[in-house]
Amino acid sequence: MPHIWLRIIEGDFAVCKINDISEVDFGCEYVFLSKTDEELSLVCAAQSVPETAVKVEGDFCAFKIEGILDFGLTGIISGISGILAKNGISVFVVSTFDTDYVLIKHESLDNAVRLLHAAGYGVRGGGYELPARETGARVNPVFAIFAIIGSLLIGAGIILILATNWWKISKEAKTCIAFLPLVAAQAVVLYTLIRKRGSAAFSEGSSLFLVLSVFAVNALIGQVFHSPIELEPFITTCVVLALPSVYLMNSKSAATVCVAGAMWAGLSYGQPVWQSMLILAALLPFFALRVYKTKSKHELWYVLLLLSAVLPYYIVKAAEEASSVFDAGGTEIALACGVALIVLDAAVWLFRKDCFFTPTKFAGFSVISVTLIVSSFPDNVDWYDYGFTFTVLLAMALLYNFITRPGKRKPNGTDFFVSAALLLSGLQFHWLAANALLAAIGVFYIYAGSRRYTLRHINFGMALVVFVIAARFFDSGLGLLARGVAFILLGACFLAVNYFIYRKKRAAGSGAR
Amino acid sequence: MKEKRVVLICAVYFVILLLLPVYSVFCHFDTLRTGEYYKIRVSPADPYDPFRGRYAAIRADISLYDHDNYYEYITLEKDAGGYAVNAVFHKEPPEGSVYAKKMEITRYYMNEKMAPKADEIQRTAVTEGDDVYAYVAVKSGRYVIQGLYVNDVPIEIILGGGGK
Repeated sequence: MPHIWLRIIEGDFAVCKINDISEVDFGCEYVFLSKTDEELSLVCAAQSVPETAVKVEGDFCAFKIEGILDFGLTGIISGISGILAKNGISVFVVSTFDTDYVLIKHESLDNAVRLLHAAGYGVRGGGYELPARETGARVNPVFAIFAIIGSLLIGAGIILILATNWWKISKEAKTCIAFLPLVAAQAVVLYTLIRKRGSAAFSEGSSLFLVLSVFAVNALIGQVFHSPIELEPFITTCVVLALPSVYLMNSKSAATVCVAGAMWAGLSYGQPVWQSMLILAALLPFFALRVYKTKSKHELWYVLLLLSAVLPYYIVKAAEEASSVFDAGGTEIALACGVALIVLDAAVWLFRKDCFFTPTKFAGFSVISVTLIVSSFPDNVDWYDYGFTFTVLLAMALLYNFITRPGKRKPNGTDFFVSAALLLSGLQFHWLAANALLAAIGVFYIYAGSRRYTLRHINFGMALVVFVIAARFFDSGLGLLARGVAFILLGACFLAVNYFIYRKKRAAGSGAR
Repeated sequence: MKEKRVVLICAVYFVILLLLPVYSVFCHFDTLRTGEYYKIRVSPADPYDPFRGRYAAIRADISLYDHDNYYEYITLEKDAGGYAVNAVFHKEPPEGSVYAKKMEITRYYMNEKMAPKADEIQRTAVTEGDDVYAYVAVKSGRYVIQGLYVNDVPIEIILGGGGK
């Protein structure tokens, strides 16, 4: 879509039905008159409405589509009205020879401006000055997140295959090979900066490539020289090195990898938490600026999604520490926190049914998912007294069901999560049960998502299934070559499914949601 | 103008990104070429790192750790055969002697199929009284494992491989 600017015309407008054309005040700046065999309609400034008007509908404000629209142009009005209609904002459209005018009620103005700007339209006038953007520059956040996961899986697969099977090559040759990913990534980033500036796909893709290559080159060199550095300090070093690329390339993907790396490195057992907090603090201005500049709900949604991914780590970590205080298992406490977040979300839903996102629910899902993953390892089974936790979970599940009135709706994914938490507690956190529950919820979401073509459900389901498979990589005797190939296949699946659904949704004209 | 500035900053950032591993590689090679070599007798084990591959986990027979983390620097005394026989710890870098900073001889990365065989060879060699040692170059606080040897033969040669 080319840059389209909308100008808000100062003043109130009214739409009215009149009987006599002679009463129209043509001295006004804006007068739109329509005559048919049945009626005479007038759109004008509110103060110029004829006193003899039969019917008057007032309190409108008007957007003018700037520039001259050729008669051959298609989809201009449908693009704008589609966005507004999807969000329950009704429109009244008037066309002239040169352009179109869109009228909406004053009460919807702020919301309409936000939605239109988020969709790439520039808005000026009425106190707004929001620049137009290429809509192609906005990457769907869900698509971006799962493209990152796909890339990471593919990257890990390549490293696993390469790094463990090149022992017959000399140190010098291995060192040269180790630098190839970094040099290639830098070349791609420079090409993007010089030739493809403004292309979100190139910007995100090349910066992600750069960040991964920083990890790759350091891992490979460490391996060539048998470096004894532990995994967590290694990840922290790489994240710190990759951090400037987030700001230089304005890359959400790079920022997301840095957040994930910081969480992993900082919250691993025995690692200082302040390191991860410092890295997150360094990334905070980046996300804040993006939300502030774009005023887009997608950006806000992305940040909240990231926060909901970050939160579980702190909750699980805090639960581990709390377990020694409360004499209960860390997994139990984390699970209870997860369900509590979902109940909280349901309670918020009671009062604010118009909430367009539910971060607490995401956080609740994430906490339960992480707890299930932790419990899915045979060595991590907590053998404590479950009576208290089971009672608390049961009470919260009942509360959740009471709030959301199960008799009046079909069971959904949230019910599965609450039930899974209950079941796991009832089955005394058995690792087999955790594996089965994770896989079952994953398959449910993939099934539900594929029926409705909703990326977020398919991806969430695939992520859970991948977690089950990946977790089993660690405690199985699978060879590294096989593990690498499996990682690459899983990553390719992620990317392929996302791309396929994304294209399908775009073709359908709704964009992937 | 702004775009040019971003490209320029990016170029500087890229040079730094490249220089850091290049410097690390240079130090490693410099240590290998001009450092003083020690043979450190080791015992085998066989774990793996899920991300960087399988490695022969080795443990030096002499103590290379200051368990109180009080002394950061270490110098090695070696016998006539070049084997390290004693480690001396220092708070400050010792002047006039070859030292390493916090020496850890723990990992020797190998091909995943070869690591268990290497482990087996090492165990047999140790039980039969053969010499199993890590050949370590030390220079200016740095150290690099040049290779793992059984009776002066690189483990890769014993396993039928090539370079190290």
